[in-house]
Amino acid sequence: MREYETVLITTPNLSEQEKSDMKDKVAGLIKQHDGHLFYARSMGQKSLAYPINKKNKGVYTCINYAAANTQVVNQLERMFRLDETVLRFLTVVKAETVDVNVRQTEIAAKGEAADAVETSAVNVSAKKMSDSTNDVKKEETTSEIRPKAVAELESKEA
Amino acid sequence: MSFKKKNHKNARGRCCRFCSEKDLTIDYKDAKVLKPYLTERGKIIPRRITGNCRYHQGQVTIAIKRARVLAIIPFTATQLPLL
Repeated sequence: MREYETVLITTPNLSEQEKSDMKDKVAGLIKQHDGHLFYARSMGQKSLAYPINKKNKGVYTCINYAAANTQVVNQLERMFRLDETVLRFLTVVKAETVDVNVRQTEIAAKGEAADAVETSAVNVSAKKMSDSTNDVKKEETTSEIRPKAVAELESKEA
Repeated sequence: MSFKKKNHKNARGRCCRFCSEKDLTIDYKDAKVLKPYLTERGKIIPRRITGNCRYHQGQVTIAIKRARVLAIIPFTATQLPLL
């Protein structure tokens, strides 16, 4: 069995119903093809680095699953392509062979399946998001002392 | 002697960050880890400047390319919203 990871970006204004529908669909599809869904966690709403379909924000979801054949991936990707609320998706092979039980315990131990905090409340999350992004920016500018060569390279580019 | 002098050039403490810090993982979903390896224009900084080992530079490159597809980091600076 191979282990896959799919990250998909959906439009930010989805209702709770639509979100749970999507999760059920994904879980059903994987089960139907004898795969195993480890988790489908929300990574929260993020602002996109560049607009996709004229949208500047998107909700990221990370799906981790094991599949015996490529059918699962094909069907999942087909579903995402047909769904207009999905802005973008990317599937990555995480491991060529995976033991479902071992991986399951590993996920539980690391707490990988936990949803991002931002998803709990919409208004609070938006505030948190903006705060956290500001923090990140500050950290980067203060902590990271770029080597001289990098600065030269940038000036050349400009 | 000249050999020693040449070696001295490397004493700037430039070494692969991912080799020295084993818990650091290269994840395409984490923009924070990838940012130091990008120029302001969004280009990948070469290995001779970042000091990464070949293996990890390759990993970083793959992660950056994946992150670009997912709009976690921009392809180019022109894609950034004008403020």
